Amino acid sequence: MPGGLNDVTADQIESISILKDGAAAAVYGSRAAAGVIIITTKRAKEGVFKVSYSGDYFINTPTKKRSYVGALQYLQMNNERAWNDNGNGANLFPVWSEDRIGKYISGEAAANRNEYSDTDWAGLILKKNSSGHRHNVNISAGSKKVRTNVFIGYEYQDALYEGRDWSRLSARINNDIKISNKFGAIVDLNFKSTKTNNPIVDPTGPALQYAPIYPAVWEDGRYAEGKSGDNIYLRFNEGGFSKNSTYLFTGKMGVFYKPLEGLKLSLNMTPTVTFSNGKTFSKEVRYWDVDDPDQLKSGTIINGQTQNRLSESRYQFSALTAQALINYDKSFENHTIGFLAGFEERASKTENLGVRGEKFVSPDFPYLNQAPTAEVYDNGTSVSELAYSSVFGRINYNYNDKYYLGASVRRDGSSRFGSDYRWGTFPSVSGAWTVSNEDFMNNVEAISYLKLKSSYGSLGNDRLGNYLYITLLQVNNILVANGANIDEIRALSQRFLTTPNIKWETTVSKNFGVELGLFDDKLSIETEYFVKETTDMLLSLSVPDLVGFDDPTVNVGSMKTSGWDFSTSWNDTLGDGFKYGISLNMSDAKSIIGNINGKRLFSGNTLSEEGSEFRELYGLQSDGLFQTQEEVDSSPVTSGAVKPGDVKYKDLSGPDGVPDGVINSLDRTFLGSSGARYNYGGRIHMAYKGFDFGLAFQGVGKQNFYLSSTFVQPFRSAWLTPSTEYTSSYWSQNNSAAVNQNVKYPRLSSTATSNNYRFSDFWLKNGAYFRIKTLSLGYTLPANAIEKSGLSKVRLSVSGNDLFTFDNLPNGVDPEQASGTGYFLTKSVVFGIKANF
Amino acid sequence: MKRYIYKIAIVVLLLTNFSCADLELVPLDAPASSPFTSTQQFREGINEGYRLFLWERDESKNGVTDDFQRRSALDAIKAGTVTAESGTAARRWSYKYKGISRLLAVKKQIENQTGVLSDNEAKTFLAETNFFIASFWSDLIAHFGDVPFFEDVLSVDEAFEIGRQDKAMILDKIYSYYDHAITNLPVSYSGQQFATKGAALAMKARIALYMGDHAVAAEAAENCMNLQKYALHSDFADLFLSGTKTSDELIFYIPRSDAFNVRLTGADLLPRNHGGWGAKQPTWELLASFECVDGLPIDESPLFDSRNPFKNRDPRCLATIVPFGSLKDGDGLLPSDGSNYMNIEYTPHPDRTRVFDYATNSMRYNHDTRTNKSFASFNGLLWKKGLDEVWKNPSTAENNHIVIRYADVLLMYAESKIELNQIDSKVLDAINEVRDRAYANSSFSNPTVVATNQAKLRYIVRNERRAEFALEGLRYMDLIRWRLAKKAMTGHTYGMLTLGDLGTNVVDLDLWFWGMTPEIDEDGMADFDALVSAGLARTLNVIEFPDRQYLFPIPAADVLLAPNLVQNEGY
Repeated sequence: MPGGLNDVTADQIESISILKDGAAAAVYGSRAAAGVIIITTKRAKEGVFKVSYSGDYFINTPTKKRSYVGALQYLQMNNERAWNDNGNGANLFPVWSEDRIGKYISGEAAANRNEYSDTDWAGLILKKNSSGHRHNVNISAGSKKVRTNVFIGYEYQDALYEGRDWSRLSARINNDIKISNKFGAIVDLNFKSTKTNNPIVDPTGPALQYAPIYPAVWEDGRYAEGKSGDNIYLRFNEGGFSKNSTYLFTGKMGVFYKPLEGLKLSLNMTPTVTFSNGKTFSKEVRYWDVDDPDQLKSGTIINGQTQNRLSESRYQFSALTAQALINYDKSFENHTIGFLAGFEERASKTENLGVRGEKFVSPDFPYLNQAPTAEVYDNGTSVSELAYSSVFGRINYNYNDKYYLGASVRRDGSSRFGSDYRWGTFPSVSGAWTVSNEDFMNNVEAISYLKLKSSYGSLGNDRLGNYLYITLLQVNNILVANGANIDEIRALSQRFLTTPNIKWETTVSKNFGVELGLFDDKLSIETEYFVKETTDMLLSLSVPDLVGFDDPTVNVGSMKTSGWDFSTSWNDTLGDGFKYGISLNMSDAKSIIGNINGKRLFSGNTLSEEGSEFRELYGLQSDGLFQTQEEVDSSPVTSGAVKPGDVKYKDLSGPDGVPDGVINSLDRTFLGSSGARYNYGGRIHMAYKGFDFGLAFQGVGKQNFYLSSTFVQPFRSAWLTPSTEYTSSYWSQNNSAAVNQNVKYPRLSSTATSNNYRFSDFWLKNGAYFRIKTLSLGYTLPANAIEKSGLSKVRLSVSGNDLFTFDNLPNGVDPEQASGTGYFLTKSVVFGIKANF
Repeated sequence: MKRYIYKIAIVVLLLTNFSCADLELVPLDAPASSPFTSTQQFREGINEGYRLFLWERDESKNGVTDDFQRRSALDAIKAGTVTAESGTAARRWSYKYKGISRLLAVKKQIENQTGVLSDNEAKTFLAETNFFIASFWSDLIAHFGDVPFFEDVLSVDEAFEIGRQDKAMILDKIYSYYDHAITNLPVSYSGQQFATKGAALAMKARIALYMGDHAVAAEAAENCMNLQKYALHSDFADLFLSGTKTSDELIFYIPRSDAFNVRLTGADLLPRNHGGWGAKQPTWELLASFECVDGLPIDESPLFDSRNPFKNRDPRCLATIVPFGSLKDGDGLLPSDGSNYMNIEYTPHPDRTRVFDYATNSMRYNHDTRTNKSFASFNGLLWKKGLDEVWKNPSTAENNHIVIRYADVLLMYAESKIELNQIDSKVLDAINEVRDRAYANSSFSNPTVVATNQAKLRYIVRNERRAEFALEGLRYMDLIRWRLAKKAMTGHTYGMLTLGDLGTNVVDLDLWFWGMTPEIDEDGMADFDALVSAGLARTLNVIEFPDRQYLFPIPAADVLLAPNLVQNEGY
């Protein structure tokens, strides 16, 4: 049944296999254009009755700690910023007075925290760690007629602050029914419910970055104003909540009929239903003045929490996949043939209902019936349908397990295309040669297995929005005066450019691979080289804004992706039962844009054009920081506001294609790949007597990491305190020239923000990293120790996930994190027990 | 074997036929734009022109003129750092072209329809469409100069090829669109108020004036006046308030409505004593620009008192900026006293840590002095125009979005006639009509304009616009077309001294508020450098307006895609 990786929990999984080449994926159709992951869930075996339990308890802590400067430095740096922007004049205390700063230096501030706050926002809001637990029970029973596997799992996690948690209950029942010798059926049911709770805001970023000089609470315990009514502690505590529950039901009901040896006719129906309920209740919240008794009564409304407002959302997704398959397998002498023909269709519908009620009189009853009738609004309601239909066939042949040939063809139709372009035909062929099964290989002792394989496969892709071939009108409301009254009336407009002739994108994959087993398969090596050519690639076409419509999705042209992967493993058992194994894998791929009719496709900070990488980084090339005014005066700059201490850029081009003495968007150039290159991973495991040890690692060999302004830019908002990373090394008038030569970051300035923090290679850092994903130690109790307890097997374990990371990034930055403001990535320590009954 | 193949084929056929997935899916929640089939649909297509985002003013959070600042923060326009990647230019460009393309598509449908609309309906609808298209093109040429121009929705291929056309040619087209609208739009509607003949005349006058085409501007403005449809609202301050829903002065505006969830949020404008942040401030230059009640600039009028800068000033000064200190002779107020603003005394005076609460008849903590709150107004001033108690209840302000009003038509008429040097009593009447209303609800009377000298009147009408339209988003284009933006926005932004210095240099010497009267130059602009030199004020930030910024840059995203788009000079 189709679905996402999150639809199953690890304990339900029997095996995972990944199909990469187009020929293998032929039965899976358009959804497999980027490859397929096949997850086989556990099924019961005949004559086996088994009950097992596993439980884990885990503790999470942030992988990296982001840190920010304290009150005094905030005051001084804020003054330096304003002083820089105001021309470095005589007034060194333009925002915060010398007197105030003096009180922080002398310690006098501590005597009057109402006036001279030093708030530990993070200490008030964030916890040192979070924890969670999970429990899984699996019951497996198989008789001759019915085999049933029941799985029930529950997992709960809290978070690094109060009010946020996540839980999941999942259950799966897989049934295999033997009706007669010729008829059989499978009935699988899967249920999952996920619940999340959150406070009205994620306080992580603000808790770390709010300047300590703003008060969270007054000395007498009342909520204080924070920065002019921006008080994250108050919002977090009192601002309301957001919660969501999602229920997923999937099933697979199939019957098959085997009228004669080798022939199997199957009919499968796979329904999926997802419901989701969301509720967000934002409350009107007030703070109090420090010493105004009049204000005690009502307080003042804080920023972001101005009224009692409820948003309710309902999401409903339903899909039905129907499949009919005919399999025929036949072997005679050394020949084996397999034949598959099938038909599949899928129809799905997504419906969103969003309603918002405003101005609730009381914050006590977060239900819409409490909203004033005139204050109920639509808050995002939509509906969308999608359907596919496919027929496919495949023939396999092999001779004596030496020579393999396969061919398949499929024809797909998608509702996303207009009727003239709806159908696409996609053929594939494959071949393989198991060299090690040849007689002449019998004498080659070392080689236990050798297979050469190659395939050519084509697949279609329709990944684009629904209904794009139809000209859609969007509906908005406008207001118009009617005498002294105001009427709300509808306005219709076309937002997207229609593309009636869009058609299937086709990807042709050519794969060549070798599988090698050495020394009785103790050492195995697999390697594969592939080239994928995508034609009629469906992408959003960057159209000049002057056309007046949003960028359309069109068949822009072609792209070629080539890459390889390699994996090897060694497994062995030594004399006295010491088992060990080691495996390594590595892969790389690069996509180069082919002919796209001279178009340039901009997407964020990337550009794709003929000959470039797909979404290659595109921006200015930096040339360090300006050190002196003379250097500024004699260099091309972005504007007259550029001063020493600002980022310097290279003048690479101009309107006539040659440097023009000005830095502007024409000077942008390709800055390298936006994707991760040389992904690698591996694991080591050892087992001896009852003990087992495992280590898994993962990393990226080469990657451009964009250190976006959320990580380092000081005073993104005036009340946010700079990071210690920035503070440790920035250009300043107060530094010696020698120190300024070697600083990492530009000067403090708001005016120069548009120069310094625009996208350029100044902010691209080496993002290569190596991470210990898991480290585990387990002990399986000796059988005789548990004999009497009725248990057949007990394993205790302790493990750590993401405990160690090695990288070259600035302090506090995790290589897998794109923004410096959100929730932490966490590492965890897990204590586990697993018992079989 | 054959038998089975036959059977299998039958099964496959059967299975294929039980197909139930329909691949011909159409959207269930929105119409598709096949030709409009009812008057209602045409009406709704044209309604797109009234979307608020299409009528963006020239203003920003941090201020784009010498009237407006936000503490020491700077907009790129005042920092002199506008680039082709600038969001301001790109947004305006993309919004206006969206408006044009959407309305062109409707226009095409009106032209091509047969039998759905009556001839009359078709004519009025076409006129209304032309009004919008002309207005959006006007905004584009005023900001960008020459722009790519088209009269039919562009195809994708054309969009990549198109270059810029001479703005003079586009202006002619704009005139013809407006003329069609002027001829065919009604003077008024009985029910819902869509664009009128008067709106088309007024907007035509505006673009003509912006482009320096004074004869056309004067004629259009005069024709608008001759409609006898419009009149000035009796009370200047009242016109802009949230509760003022309609007025004979409003020619084209888009209403807001709390009930329909279209609101303004104003914490940046509200005083801190009322729960706001007092972050957006009128500049000292604006305060200095209002005349005294004798009609003289502050550096010439004997009535001006730099210790009580709101005393004896054009009433619009007090309606635009929250006043403090003495307001007129004999009112007994001290320079440190504040005015009653929404029932709480407003004064930024550093010694006034407590202020009077008129609701409770007691003193209360003053959030609006920097002694108490570091981020209280950096220059002591706060905006008043359009604000009232409604704003205190968050997000409920529903002030009209005024695009053009009658006072503008009168002053455009006067300005064009002055520029044409066709100065007569009608010109003076137009100016004095605006000034009479300004003084109408005050204890002073309009120091009537009687000058007939062109240069003198040019000065008067320009200053009149500044006084009349502050905070209405018109100052930016005025400075641009008068080529005064560079002068007005080069130098510094100013504010009060920091607390210690403010006490020593100003308050203790009894010099509060301004330690001296700033000089006003021949363009009505005040110079505060003398105060800074004398240690009576401080600069908040360095500002610059390079010449290239007289035109917006063509957005980089489009220049990079469409090679025939030549960038404006200097970007």
